[in-house]
Amino acid sequence: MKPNPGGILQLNDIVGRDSVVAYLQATLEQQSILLVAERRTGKTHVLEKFKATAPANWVVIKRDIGAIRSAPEFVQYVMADLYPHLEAKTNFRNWLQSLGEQLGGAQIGPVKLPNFATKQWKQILGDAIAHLDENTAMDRVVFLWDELPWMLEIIAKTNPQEAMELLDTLRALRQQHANKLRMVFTGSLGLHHIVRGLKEQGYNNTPVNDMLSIEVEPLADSDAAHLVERLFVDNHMTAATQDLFEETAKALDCIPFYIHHVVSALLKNPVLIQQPVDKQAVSAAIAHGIHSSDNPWDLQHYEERTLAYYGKQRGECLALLDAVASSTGTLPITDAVRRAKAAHPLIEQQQWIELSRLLERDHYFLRHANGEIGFKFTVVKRWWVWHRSLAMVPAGASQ
Amino acid sequence: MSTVKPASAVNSVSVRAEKAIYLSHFTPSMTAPETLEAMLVQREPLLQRSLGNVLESLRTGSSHHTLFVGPRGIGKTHLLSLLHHRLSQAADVQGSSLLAWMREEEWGVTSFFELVLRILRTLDASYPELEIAGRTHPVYELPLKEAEKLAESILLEVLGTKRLVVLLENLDDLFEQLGDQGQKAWRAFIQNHNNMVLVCTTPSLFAGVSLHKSAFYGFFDIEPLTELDFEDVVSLLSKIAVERGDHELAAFITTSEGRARIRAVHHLAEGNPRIYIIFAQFLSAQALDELVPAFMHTLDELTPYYQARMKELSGQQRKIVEYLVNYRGAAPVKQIAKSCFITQQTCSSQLKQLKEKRYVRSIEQGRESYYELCEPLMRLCMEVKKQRGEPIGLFVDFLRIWYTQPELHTMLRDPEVLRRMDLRYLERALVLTKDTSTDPKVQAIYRDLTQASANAHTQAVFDLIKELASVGADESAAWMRFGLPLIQSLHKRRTPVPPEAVSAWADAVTNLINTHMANPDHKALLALAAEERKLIGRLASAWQQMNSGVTP
Repeated sequence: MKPNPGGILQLNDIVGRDSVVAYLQATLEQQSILLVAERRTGKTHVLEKFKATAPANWVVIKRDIGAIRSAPEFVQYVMADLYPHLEAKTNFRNWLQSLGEQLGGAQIGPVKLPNFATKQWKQILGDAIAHLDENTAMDRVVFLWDELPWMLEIIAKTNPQEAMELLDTLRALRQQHANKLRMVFTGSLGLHHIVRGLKEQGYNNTPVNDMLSIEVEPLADSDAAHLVERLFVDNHMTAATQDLFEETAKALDCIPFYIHHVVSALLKNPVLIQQPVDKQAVSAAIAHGIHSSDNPWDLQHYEERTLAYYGKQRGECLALLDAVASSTGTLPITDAVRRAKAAHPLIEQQQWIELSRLLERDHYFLRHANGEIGFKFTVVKRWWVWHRSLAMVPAGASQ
Repeated sequence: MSTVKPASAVNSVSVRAEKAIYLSHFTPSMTAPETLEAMLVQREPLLQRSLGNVLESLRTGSSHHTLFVGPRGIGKTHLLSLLHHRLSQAADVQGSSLLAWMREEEWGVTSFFELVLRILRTLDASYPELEIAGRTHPVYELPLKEAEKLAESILLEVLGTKRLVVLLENLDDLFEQLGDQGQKAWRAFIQNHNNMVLVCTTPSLFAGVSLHKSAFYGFFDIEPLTELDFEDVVSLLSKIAVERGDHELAAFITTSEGRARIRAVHHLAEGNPRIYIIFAQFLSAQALDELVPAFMHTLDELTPYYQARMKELSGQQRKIVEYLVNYRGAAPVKQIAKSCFITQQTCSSQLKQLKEKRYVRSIEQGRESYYELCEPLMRLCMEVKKQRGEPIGLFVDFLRIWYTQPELHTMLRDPEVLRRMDLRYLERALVLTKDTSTDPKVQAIYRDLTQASANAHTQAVFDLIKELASVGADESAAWMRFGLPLIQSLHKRRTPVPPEAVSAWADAVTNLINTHMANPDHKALLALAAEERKLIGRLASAWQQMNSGVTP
């Protein structure tokens, strides 16, 4: 395998995702899933692996729907994706013909759809899904909809009502066909941000409260080290010490995207092709990713997005992030708040705790079993300390 | 002086053995692939790696997308042209994929739908047997939304089980025109069908690929193209000379004098291959008359691009860029701020933004940051436009670097040369060559000597001082300046000091002392810095006193 930061890997090269894939499958036996993670953690590869290893009597349909502009267009794609699985069924064919002129609709891939431009999209979607029950050979029909929040964002820009109705319709369909229909929503943008926007426009429902939220975590330590080792071996690089693989993986938070990036950078260095790679070379490659003005990992994003995510609370948010980042280790939340309070003394304790919870949800913090908090990703922490010129303070010390 | 190639060329205007090769300095895609292969320097490992990534994508079903990043003229099109050539030759590519090489001029694409149509048109030109044009006729009869889906369906049908390798220039421009919606549609197509492998270029990184919130964030393997270093340039010019059948020039390039001249041109061109390609074709006198129009043509083509880029800037940022254009080098923040009548704080913040937009780059020296323009061609474009009919400084510099004083005199007397060339260029160059204290060849060698001695590169110091001798400059002055720093940096690195370095330095100091004793106003002493001259003077008088038995 060649290092391939950001590209699509072949199935054999997707390392260490067996357990999350098994967990997805076990969950989908019962309910639908909201798959969440930071960008470039590997959600799409998890979905690909799940699709390839799903039971034979499951139909798994994966589609990136991020550029779809309306609910009717979304329904067209659902129809095109369902068609191959239902075309042999007489009732389905008759129903399609009853919709309108066979030749009048759009062509999506090899499927020529009927012209149902004037029909109600909700009705058509409901009827189409209902035909799934005709096919008894299918135990589960799972739609993996990647970039669903982007689609909703586009629709909501011109027609927020339609975006709300689409979310409600999908929820209703999950309830109606609970024995067979499953959905997995995922995307680069958190769905909660879209729903929050819709709520500001009068939306009152909770459209995904029936779905289990599963986070795609970084790889396990051993899998990440194995990935580093495999990339080294496959590309004829040697490690100066045996623990280099583990240390590299750990320094990169076991995130495959960063691992591919760093090995790719090492491979581009002509000196390292001829001699064993040591910790110094790895550290230099990681430091370039974090500190370079090229900003290849766009870590600036973690600061910039606080403006959109936390609005008026941004000042407090940055103070809390600074307090936790500048601690040499994890620290009790009361200590973190005490340090942050120096800049914002009038904020109530409860507000700090709520803010800490939100920062945990948005992947900044990780709360450990002992209740202490720390940065979830060391790469982000290193960048944060460097970017904001923070002086490090021992975890137990007062600031 | 030497019997070098340029002088002999002046005397044998009609005797040429050069191959009539076409080196398009602006559009390498129009140059024969064999010529491009022959002229490739420095980038072979990069080309091999990129080719390997595409081939692996075709073989395994993974998708490895590559983005070459570098300023105008750095050689992106050259690289893409060669990649296309090598892919077209690869046997396993032909059965498993289609290649769509999108030419850099053809962007009028404002949606993913139009991009798909453009790809289909490109494929139709390369693979007429697929009869793509006939299949796309119905697209133009449909409403837009249906036409979009049909166009995508046709592309999928044309590809079948094959994969599409898209080679594409100026991705930044295309992304800007596609907008957020077009980018998301393209990404969705790639993710849904996994049948497209992208190899693209851009003059600089841009929000569409580098920002976390962008559809294509982290999508590409970024390959920055670095400037050519001096040895790369020697190799490039030598290869061009060989390719043109000009073996005499190729041999000259490898001499100390040839290297000294190239070193000075190297500082003029700042590592930008496009400038060397232009110069390379005019290293003989009879082609000089074509140099100015060829260069002006290149700059004319680029000017609208740079003008458009300038329009994107705020007033303060334009002022800073204009200052750096005129300054022709790296300047510290304090100096830039003072010259632009802005505070240092404002200047730093504007420079930071200009750096993010890739207009300038910073060089850290101690605690100070120096800023210079990223793209030498930008400076040249703006500089040339300001000349308004006057001889262009760059060409005058080129003439005075490449030709010796006697050669320029010979050219001035040659009616054939004068018939083809603006006399003012030769005259201006001649005037400048008489001012030896600012000989650009010597300046360039001195700059490199500073680096080489500080980095303890002993052999490089010897070679550079040999180059100095070949252009008539004084070796002793150079050893006086750089001998001690070399020895000190060797010491600092705990590297044994070669005895020949110590003796060369000691000999040089002794020579200078002797010269001073013979004639304190000797030309060789004038090449020294004031402090060095004083030191030699003191040593000389100490020596004289010791010899006369007087204690100083």
